[in-house]
Amino acid sequence: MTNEIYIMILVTIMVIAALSPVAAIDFIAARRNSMIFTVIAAVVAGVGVVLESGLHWSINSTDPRLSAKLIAFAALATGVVILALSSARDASRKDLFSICALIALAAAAPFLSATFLPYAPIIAVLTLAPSLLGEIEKKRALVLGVFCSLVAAFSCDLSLAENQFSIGTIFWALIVIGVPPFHSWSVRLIQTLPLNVFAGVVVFQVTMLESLLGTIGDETGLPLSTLLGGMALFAGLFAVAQVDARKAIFFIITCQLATAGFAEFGSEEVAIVGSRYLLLTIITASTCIVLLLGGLEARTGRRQSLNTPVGCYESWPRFANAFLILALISAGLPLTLGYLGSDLIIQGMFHTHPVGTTMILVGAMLCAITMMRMYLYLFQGSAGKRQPSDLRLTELAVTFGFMLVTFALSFTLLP
Amino acid sequence: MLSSNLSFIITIAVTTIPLLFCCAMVVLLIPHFFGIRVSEVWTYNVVRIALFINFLMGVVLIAALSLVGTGPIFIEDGAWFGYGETQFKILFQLDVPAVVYGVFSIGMVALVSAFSRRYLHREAGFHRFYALLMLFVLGLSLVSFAGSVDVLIVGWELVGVSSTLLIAFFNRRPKPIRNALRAFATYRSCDVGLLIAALSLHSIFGTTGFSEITNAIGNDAYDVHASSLSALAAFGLLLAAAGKSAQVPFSGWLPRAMEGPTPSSAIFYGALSVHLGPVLLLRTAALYPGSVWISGVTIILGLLTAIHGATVQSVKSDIKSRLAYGSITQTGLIFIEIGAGFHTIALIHCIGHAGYRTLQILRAPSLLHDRSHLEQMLGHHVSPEVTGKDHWYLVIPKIFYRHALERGGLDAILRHQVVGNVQRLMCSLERIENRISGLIADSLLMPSRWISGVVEVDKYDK
Repeated sequence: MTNEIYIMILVTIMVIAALSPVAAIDFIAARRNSMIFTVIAAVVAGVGVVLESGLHWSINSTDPRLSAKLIAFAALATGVVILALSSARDASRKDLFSICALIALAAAAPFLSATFLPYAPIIAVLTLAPSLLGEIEKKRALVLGVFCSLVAAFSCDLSLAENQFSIGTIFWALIVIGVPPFHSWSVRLIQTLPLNVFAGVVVFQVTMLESLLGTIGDETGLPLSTLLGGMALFAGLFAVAQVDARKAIFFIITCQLATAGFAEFGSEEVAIVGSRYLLLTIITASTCIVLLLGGLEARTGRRQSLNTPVGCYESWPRFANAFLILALISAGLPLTLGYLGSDLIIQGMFHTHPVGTTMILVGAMLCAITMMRMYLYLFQGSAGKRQPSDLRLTELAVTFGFMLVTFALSFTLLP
Repeated sequence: MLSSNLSFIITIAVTTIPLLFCCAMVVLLIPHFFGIRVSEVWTYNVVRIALFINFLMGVVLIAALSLVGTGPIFIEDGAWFGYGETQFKILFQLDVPAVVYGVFSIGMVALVSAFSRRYLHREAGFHRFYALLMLFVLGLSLVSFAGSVDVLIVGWELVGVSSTLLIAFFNRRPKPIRNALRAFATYRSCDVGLLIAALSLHSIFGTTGFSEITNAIGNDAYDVHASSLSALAAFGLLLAAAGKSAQVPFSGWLPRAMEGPTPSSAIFYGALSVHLGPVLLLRTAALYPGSVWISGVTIILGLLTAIHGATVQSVKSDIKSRLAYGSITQTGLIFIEIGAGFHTIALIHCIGHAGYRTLQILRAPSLLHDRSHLEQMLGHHVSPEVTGKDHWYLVIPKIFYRHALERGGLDAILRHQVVGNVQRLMCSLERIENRISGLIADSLLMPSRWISGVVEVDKYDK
C-alpha cells in the first residue's frame, strides 16, 4: 500500500470520527461514536505496520516508511485512550471534535512533505477553535496560537535546512516544541483548554518532533540541539517554581520534549534511539498523567494548586497509585521506559556534548522533583469533608493497560 | 577459578534475592492497586517468606565466599537493553563488603518487619508499609551486590523513592508530606553526581563494570584526560554518598525524615539507608586508588559533619531529633575512616552503629510511656541527673551555641539563598513573558473588540 492511500484512509476515518459527535444526541453517544472510528483507524494503522514489516517491527527502525506508520499507530492508540478517559464532567462534544482532529493531524504529520509540514501547527491551532471560543482568555490563547504558528511557518524553510543553516527553521522548531521563552502560545493553551484536549496537543507535538528527524541536516540540527539542551534546563527550573499543577505538568512535558529534541538533532545514533523511547514515554505516561490531572480537576471541581497538600489518599487510593506509578515512569525511575530513554540519551550524548548532557540531567532531576511534589500535594493531605470518587473500572482498566504497555515497551531493545 | 557447580549456585542465589523481593513487592502492590482487601496475616506472610528464603540465599553466599576466599566473584546475568556498544548489563559482584552488608540488610529488615507487625497493627497503611519495605530491600540488595555503577544506580533510586514514600506515610498531616519532598529533592540533587560518575566511567572505560574498570586501572590503561574524568567520577560518587548519608551541607533532611513511622525511621535513618553512602564509597574504592584529593575531601566532609552533628545534637530537646543528629555524627566519623583508608573498620562501624541506632529508635516511642509509668509507680517525678557534661555548650563561645540552635544556618541558606532566589528569578521571567504575550494578544484582538464595541454603541443609540 502506498503511503498516500494509507494516510488518506486514516485521515478519512479520523475526519468521520471528528464529525460524528455532531450527529450524536448526547455526550456519551458522541464519545462512543468517536471512539469506534478512532479504534478502526488504530486497527488500520496497526495492519499497515504489520503489512510493512511482518511481525518483525522494531521501535528503533531506520526504515522511514515503517517508522512513520509506527508513529501514526502510536498516535491513534493514544487517541483511543484520550477518548476513553474523557467524560462529560471534563469535556464537551466540541472537545471531542478537537481531540479527533488533532489526533488525525498527529497521525498524518510523519507523512507530510517538507513543503506542508511547517503549516501543520496552524491547522492544529485552528482545530482547537471550537474549544477556545468563549471567554476572553480563551480567545487570547487562540489568537496567540494562530499568530505564533503563522510567524513560525512563514519563517521556516525546511528544504533549506536539509543542507544549510536555517535560523527560521530553528525558530519554527522551538515554537512547535514550545520551549521557554517560545512557550507563550502553548502555556496559554494548557491554562484554557480542557486537559484531554491538551493531551491531544502533546501527541501532536511528539509526532511533529519525530517527523522532523531526517528532515533537518546537521548544519541546522546541531545548533538546535545545543539550544534545546539549555532550554530543557530552563523548562525544569520553570517547572519546579510553579504552584499551578497544570503549568507544572506543562513545563515537565516541555523539558522532556526538549530533551528528546536535544538527542534527536545531535546526530548520535544511540541518542536518537533513546529519543524515540523518550517520545514513547511522553506519548504514553506523560499524556496519561495529563488525563489523570484532568480527571482530578473534574472530580474536585477546581484547578489544582501545589501550595499545600490537599489530597485525600484514603478516598482515592487507586487514583493515587496510578498517578504515582505513571509519574515515576515519566520521571525516569529505573526499570521503566522513561529510564531507558533517558539513559540512552545521556550515554549517547555525553561524549560529544558534556555540558548539554549535564544540563538535561539537571532538568530531568528538577522535573522528577516536580512530579513527586505533584503526587504528594495532590493526592496526600487532609481534604476535609470532601469524598471525591476513585477511578472507575473503565478508567482503571485503561490506565493499567497503559502501564503494562510501557512496561512491555521497556523490554523491546534487547541487545 | 570457581567450579561450575559453585558458580551455578552463586548465580542462582544472587539472582534470586532481588527477584524474590521484586515478586513480593508486586504481589503486595496488585491488591493495593485494585483496591482488593487482604488480611494483615497474608501480607506479613508474603514478606516473611520472601525474607526467609532470601536470608537463606544470603547464608549460601557467605558460605560460597568463604570457600573461595575474600573474592571478588563476578556474575553476569544478561542485559536489560542494549544498542550497539551501549549496553545495560546486569552485573553482580560478591566481595566482603557486599555480602556482609547485603545479608545484614536482609536480617535487619526481617527484625523490623516482625516488630512492625504489632506496631502498625490495624494502621490504615499496613499493607502500603510492607510493599514499600519490599521496594526498599530490593533497592538495598541491588546496591549491595551491584557489579557495575549502572546496576547500583537502579538500587540507589529505588531506595530513594521508597524512603520518600515512607516519610509521607502519615499522609493526613502536611508536615510529613513537606518533609518527604525535602528528602526527595536532596536525594535527586545528589543523584546527579552518581549519574555523572556513571557517564564519566563510560567515557573512560566504555563500561561501568567494577571488574573491567579495576583491570583497566591495573593495566595503566587511562591517560591524563581520562584521569581528570576519573576525578570527576570520584567526586560525583562522593556527592551522591554525601546526599544519601546526610553529610554537611545536605544534612537538613535527615531529622525531618523522622516524621515517618518509627520502624521505617529505624531501618532507614538508623540502620541501612543512612549507611548507603559509606557502602557506596567502600564498593567503589577501587576506582580511585590512592587519590590524596579524594581522601582529603572525604575526611574534611566527614569531620565537618561530625562536628555539626555533635553540636546540634546536644541542644535538641526531642528524642528523635537527637537520634537523627547522632546518626549524622556517626556517619561523619565513618566517612573519616573511609578517607583515612580504614575500610574494614568503617564496615564494622557501619554494622555496629546500624544495630545500636535501630534499637534506640525502636525504643524511642515507648520511652516516655515507660517513664510516666515508672513515675506513677514511684509516686514522684524522676528528674535526670544533670552533670557538667550535659551543659558543655555553656563554656564554649555563644556563636557555637547559636550555630547549634540554628542547625548551622544551613536550612536558612538553602531556603532563602538557593530555592528562594531561583523561584524569584523564574517568577519575574514569567511575569515578563506574560506581559509581552498579553500585549501581543490584546493588540491582535483589538480589531474584533473595536467592531464589537461599535455594535454595542449602535445598539445603545437605537
